[in-house]
Amino acid sequence: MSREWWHQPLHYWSQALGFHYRIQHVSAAIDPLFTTVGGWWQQGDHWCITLDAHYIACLSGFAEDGQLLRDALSYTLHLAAGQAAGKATEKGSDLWAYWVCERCGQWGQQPTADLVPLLSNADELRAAWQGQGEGPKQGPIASLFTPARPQGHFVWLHWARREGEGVALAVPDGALRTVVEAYQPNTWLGPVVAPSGYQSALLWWPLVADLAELPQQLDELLGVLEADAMVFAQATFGKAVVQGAEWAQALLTTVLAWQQRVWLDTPPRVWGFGQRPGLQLLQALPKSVLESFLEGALEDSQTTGCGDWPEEWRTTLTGLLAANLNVSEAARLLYLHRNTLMNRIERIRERTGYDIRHFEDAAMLWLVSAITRQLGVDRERAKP
Amino acid sequence: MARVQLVNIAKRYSGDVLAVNDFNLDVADKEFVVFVGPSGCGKTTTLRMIAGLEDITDGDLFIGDRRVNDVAPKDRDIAMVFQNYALYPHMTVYQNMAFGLKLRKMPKTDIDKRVRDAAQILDIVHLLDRKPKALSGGQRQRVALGRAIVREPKVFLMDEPLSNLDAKLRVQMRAEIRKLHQRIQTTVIYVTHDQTEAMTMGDRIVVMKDGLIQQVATPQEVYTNPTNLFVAGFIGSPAMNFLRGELVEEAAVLRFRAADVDIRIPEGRYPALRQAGVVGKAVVLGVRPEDLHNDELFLSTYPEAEIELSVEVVENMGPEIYVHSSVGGQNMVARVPARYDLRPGSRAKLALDMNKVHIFDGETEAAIPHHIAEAIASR
Repeated sequence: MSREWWHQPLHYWSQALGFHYRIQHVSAAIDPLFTTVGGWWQQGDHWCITLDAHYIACLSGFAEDGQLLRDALSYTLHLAAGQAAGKATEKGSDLWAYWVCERCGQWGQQPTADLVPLLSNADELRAAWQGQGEGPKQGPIASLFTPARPQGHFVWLHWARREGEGVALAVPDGALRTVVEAYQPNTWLGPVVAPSGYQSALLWWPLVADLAELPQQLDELLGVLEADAMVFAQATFGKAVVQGAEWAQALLTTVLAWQQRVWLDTPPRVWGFGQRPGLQLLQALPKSVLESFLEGALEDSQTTGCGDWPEEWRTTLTGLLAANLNVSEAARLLYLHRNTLMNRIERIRERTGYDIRHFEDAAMLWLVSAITRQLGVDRERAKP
Repeated sequence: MARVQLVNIAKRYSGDVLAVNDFNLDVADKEFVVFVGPSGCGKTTTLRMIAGLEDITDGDLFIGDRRVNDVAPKDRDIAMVFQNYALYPHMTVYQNMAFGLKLRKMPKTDIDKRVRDAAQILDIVHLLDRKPKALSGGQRQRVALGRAIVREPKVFLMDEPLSNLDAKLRVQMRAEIRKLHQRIQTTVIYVTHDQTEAMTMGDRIVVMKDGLIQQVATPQEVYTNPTNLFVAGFIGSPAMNFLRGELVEEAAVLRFRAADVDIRIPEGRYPALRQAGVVGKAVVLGVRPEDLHNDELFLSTYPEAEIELSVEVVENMGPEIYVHSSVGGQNMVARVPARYDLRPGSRAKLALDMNKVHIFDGETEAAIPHHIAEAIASR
């Protein structure tokens, strides 16, 4: 096996993340504890990584809290070692999947079927990884392999793929790309595998000084897509990338933002991961906990979740929450007479045991409706 | 030919949320129809189904003679105008207006002619070289309109296009859109939550609530003959006053009774009220603020339609005043000439114009027609 196999991955990573490294020969065999390729330890101010039984790399200027990056680099070295030994031919893009899966693991969540394909946009990544072909010239994927790292946000754009009666209404990516690039040049990273029923593309959006501006800009982008490409699109965005090390989190949170929408009663067409922090907590809970919550919350009620609620309950709850539980204001918002609204609230109380004029009860029913929706989607996904 | 027909249209989202149900409407060629209703009533969803931006769950949609349910939006020959203008920030006004045509690979000379013609119509020729950032809200909205006009579509779909403008500009722009419609003679379907916009712009208004059409009629008809309590309360500003009470019969005379209110119902309305089966039942009496009068002539003409109010707030609007008051615990607003000296804390006698009073079934909230003939017609 060539001794040089680690140079390429280490070089790429050092360029991407701005660290320096020194390959060091260790004359005595490394402590068995650290003999695994890709194993890490700290030596003074430096992080060191095992390359094989006789060589290590010492890194300087490497983020101390970069557990994800360390794991990712380990994984990369595993791949490169495997390839050098002629054992593995895994795609370079699996690195992304690895990152995200790792993070999902930390959050107690399984990566969903939507997530892995997104991150397996293999050809472009592999080309860049192997230094072949054109590779990406701009955007975050390219910046992993170049010293110049842009700052910004991943934006995941979805538009519905619809099949009519014998008529395919799928919209070609090209039409969208033209409009997207006309609105904000150099943002299109390329199409990615989409959740069922959608087409998707990943965008790289320049960093905005005030995060509140981003939904507004994206809403305008969706407006021009409707006006000129005649396409109804939706967008999610995650955390910003200010330093290279934040990418995995940025990409992951962009994907999770799409999943968050399921929890919302009427999701807006632009949704950011951090817009409702409570949802992050719900997302992190395992399904068994959600089911158990639902069971407990509805123990004494005559409903099994929002699936069997009349439509007017949903609007009543939404209206009351929008009015900060002020019944008169909610009646005004819902264009109902106050007495009509009071009747509805009473009917909800009779059937569920929750009086949604009180914060705790309203919050409980909001959770019940969000969790029922989420579990309903899971059940749909699980169908063969 | 740009007649638009919606036949039994429904939209159901996943989770069985019914956004629009059993929507039937026939929009005539060159007609200006306004969908109006509170947020969440399904008006925008309906517009987007017409555009093809949302799937139709059930029903048939025709533009001209063609069923377009499964026709891609770009092939429906429509143009949309949105609240957020949807302009390209890096392009000039000219480029913004031309871009959609460029995408359709139209020859440059044709594009130039269309853009300049539209700019002329909208009076924005002098803005063609500017970028959106250098334009006011009203100018941006004109550019957005221009971008739709250059397409020369069969149907314009406008989704709250004036909502981002300040009140003064909104008044100006709604007149301009109306003029524009008269000039270009194209079918327009316009969505708004603002009942004043609906009243002033539409040839016909479609009032919606909870995904259902409540009434389709001319603005005047909707105002004077609302079909139910919701329409009556939604259209008109200040809103119609509602008094909840009971319709009782005493010695062959029908009277409306509520706390501190006892009003004799005109005999001409008896047959319709009897037919509706509301005698002896809870009803809602509706009266518009301008149909409450405090001049002597009225008070003497309708002595049995008089109510005594406690004046709470008086809003001076210049030629008239809005008198906010209450009777028997129910709120009322009267719109009377400013010459009357009504002050907060005082009591005032007002008479209802009984020819214009509306009566609604207390349970179904449907309007009881004034006459039997209307009752039959409304079935």
